Amino acid sequence: MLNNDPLANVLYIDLSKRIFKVEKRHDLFEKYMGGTGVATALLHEECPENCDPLGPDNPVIFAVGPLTALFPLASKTVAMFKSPLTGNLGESHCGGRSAVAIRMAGCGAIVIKGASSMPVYLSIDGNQVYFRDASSLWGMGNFATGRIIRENETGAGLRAIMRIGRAGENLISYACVTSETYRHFGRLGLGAVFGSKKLKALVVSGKSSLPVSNHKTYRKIYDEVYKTAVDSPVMKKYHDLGTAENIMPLNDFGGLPTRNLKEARFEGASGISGETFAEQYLGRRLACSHCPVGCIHIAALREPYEDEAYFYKTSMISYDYEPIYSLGSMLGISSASDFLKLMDKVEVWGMDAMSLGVILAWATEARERGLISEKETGGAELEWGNVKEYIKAAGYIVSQPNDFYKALARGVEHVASIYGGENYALAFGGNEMPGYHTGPGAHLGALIGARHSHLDNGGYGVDQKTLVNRKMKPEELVDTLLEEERWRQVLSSLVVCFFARGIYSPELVARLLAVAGFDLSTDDLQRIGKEIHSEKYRFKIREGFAVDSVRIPERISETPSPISWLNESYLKEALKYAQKTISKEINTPFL
Amino acid sequence: MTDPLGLTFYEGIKLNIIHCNALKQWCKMPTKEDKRSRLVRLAVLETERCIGCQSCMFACSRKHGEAGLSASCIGVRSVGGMERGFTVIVCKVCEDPPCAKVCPTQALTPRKGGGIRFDADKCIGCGYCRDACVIGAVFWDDEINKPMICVHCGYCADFCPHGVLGLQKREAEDAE
Repeated sequence: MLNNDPLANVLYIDLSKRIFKVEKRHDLFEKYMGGTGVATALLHEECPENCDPLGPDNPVIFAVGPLTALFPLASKTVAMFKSPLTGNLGESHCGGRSAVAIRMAGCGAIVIKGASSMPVYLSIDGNQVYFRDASSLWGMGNFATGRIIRENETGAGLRAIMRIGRAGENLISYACVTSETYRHFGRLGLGAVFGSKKLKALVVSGKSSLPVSNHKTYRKIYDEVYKTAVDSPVMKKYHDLGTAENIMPLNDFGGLPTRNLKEARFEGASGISGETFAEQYLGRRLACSHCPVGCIHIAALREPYEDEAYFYKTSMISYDYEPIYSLGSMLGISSASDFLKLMDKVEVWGMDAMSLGVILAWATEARERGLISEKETGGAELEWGNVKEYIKAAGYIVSQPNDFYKALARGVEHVASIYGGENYALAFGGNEMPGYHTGPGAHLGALIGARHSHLDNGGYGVDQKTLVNRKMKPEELVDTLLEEERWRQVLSSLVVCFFARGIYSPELVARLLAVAGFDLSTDDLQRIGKEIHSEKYRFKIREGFAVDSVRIPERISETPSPISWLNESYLKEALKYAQKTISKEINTPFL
Repeated sequence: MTDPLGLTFYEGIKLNIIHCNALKQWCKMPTKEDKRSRLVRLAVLETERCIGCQSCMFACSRKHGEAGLSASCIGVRSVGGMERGFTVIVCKVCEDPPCAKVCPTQALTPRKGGGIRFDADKCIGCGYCRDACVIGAVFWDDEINKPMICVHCGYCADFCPHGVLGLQKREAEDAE
C-alpha cells in the first residue's frame, strides 16, 4: 500500500474511559488489504476468548478498504463483533454513506471497546472524537434519532449516522444498526452490542484526499469501471426493479419459503412482487455513496387517518427481496401495503427483518400446533397473513412483557430449545434462514458459511445455475461453495458490494489495487482470500463452533425444493467433508 | 433546440445518461467553439432525478488531480433525510458574483460574461467568499485552506448516471 494512505489509521475508542487514540497499522492493511480481512485480524486481537457478547469486552470493529472512495461500488463497511445471536463470529455489512465517510474521515478501521455508564453517541469529525450525551435520545426510534443528530452535527452530505432503535437498547439478539435511515448492519445483532455499550449512535464525516500511484492510470481505469457499472447488464436488475425482482422467479422455481417453509410456493406472491411494488408504491430510488447503480428502492405508502377526512400520512419505507420474503411470504402476507406497514415498524425499532420474520413464522406455526397458547402470546393472535397481530407481536418482542417474548427476543434457535418445535425452527448455526429454498446449495451454503448468511457463498445461485441440470457429489458442492466464499473474502476486504461481483473479476481487482499501491497478482489474491477465510474459521472454532455438529432443521428436507434429491443424509455427509476440509485448511501454515 | 421550459441545453455526455430519453430529445453535444467561448455553464437540469450517488463529487476531485473528495466543487446532500431527495449545489454563474465582491485580495475576479476566475496565488484563505455565497457553492479544500471554484468544464456531468447535470448554453448576449 502507499505509505501516505490514511487507510492505515486505526481509530481506537474506549467508551468506559472516554478516550481515543489513532495507531498506524500498515502491518494489517498490507497483509489483509482492509474490510473483512483487517476486521478479522482486529477481532482476534481485541476479542477475549469466551467473552460475553453483551459485555464491555466485546469490541465493535468497523473496517473499509483501499478502493473505497477511489473506485465506484467499493461502498460497504464491514462490522465485526462477537454475535449475541449465535455467540460466535459476528460479521455484518452496510452501505449507505458509511464506507466513504469512514475513509474520508481519514481512517481505515474503527475499534470501539468498553461500555458507557450513560447513553452516549459518538461524533467523529476532523481528527476528533466527541462523546455526546444521548440520554434524551434513548428510547427513540431510528427515524427520529437520525433527524435529531442530523440537525445537531455538521458534515451534511459527507456523513454517516449509524444508530439503533429500541430493539438495540433492549438487547434484542438480532437488533440491527441502521445507517442513512434505510441501510443496515442487519444480521447477527450488532444493534444489541451497541445497546449493551449504551452507544445510541455513531456519526462520522470527512472530506479528505487520497494518494494514488499514478493519476493518469487512475483516471483511465476509473472511466472503465464506471462505464461497466452503468452499462453492464449484470447490474441492470439491481437498479430497475431492485432485489425484489426475485420474488416471482423464485416462486415459479418453487424456492420461495412460505408460511415457515411449510411450502415453497406462495399463492399470494404476485401481491408482493417487485413488479407490484414498483408499479404501485415505488417513490424514490437511492444510491450508496460512490455507487452509480442505485439499488435502494423506497416505497411511498399513503394511509388515511381514520379520525379525519382527506387527511393522510405518507411514509417512505425501503424494501428488498429478503425482508419481503421474511415479513411477507414467510408470514403469509400477500399484500404489499400490509408488508410495508410491518416493515415500517421494524425500521423504527431497528430489528433484523430477516430474523424477525423467521421467528414470527416459527411462533405462528407453534401456536397453530398448540405448542404454545394464548398464555404465551399474550394479546397477539398469531395467524398467517394477519399483519395487525404481527405488528403487535413484534412490539412485544421489543418490550418483552413475559418469558415467551423474552425468549423470542433471543432468536428462533433459543426459543425452540425451550418450547420445542426445533424441526421447524429455521436457523443455521443460530442465524435465521435466508429466503431461498432452492436446494442443497442454499442450505449447505448457509450451514457452512462463516456468518451463516446467503451472501457468504451464494449457494442459492449454485442451485439455480448448476444443480438443476446435474447432481453434484457432496464433496464437489462443498468445494464449490468454499471456493466462492474464499473469493468473497477478497471482495469484502476491499468492501466491494457483492452486487458488483460480476464486474470485479480477479484481473480487474489486481489492476485497481495497483492504483492504490498494492502489488498483488491474482494468485496472491486467491491466497489472501483463503487465509482470511481460515482466520474467520479459526475464530469460530476458538469460540466452540464445529461445522459437522451444526443442527439441520428437518423442515428443509421435508418440504420439496426444486432440487428433488435434497435430503438430510446428503447434507450430513457434506458437513462432515466440510469439517475435514476446513480443519485441514486452518492447520496449514500460510507462507 | 428548445426544451418545454424554453431553455436551451446541451447534453453532458450521451453514453452515460442511461434513463433520460426525454432529455435526449432536446439535447445536443456542445461544440468546441461553444466551450472555447465559454458559452456553456454547468446546470442542474433535474434535481429530482438525483439518487445521491455522489459520482459527480468524486469526478470533480479527480478532474482537479485528486482522489477522494477534498477538491470537489460540487455538493450533493439530502434534503433533511434521503427519503425526501437531494439538493445538488453547483456554482450558478452570478452576473455580479458576491464571492468576488468580498474577496480582499482580488484572488476571485468576475469573468467576462459571468462566472469567476480564481487566482490561488493571491488567495489568503480568509473564507469570506464561502460565507458570501448564500447557495453554498463556494466549496472549501481543507487540506490547502482555499476555496474550490467551479470552472464549468462539465466533467462531472459525464459521470451522472441519470442526467441530473448537464451543460447549458448561455445566451450569446449575456456572455458579452
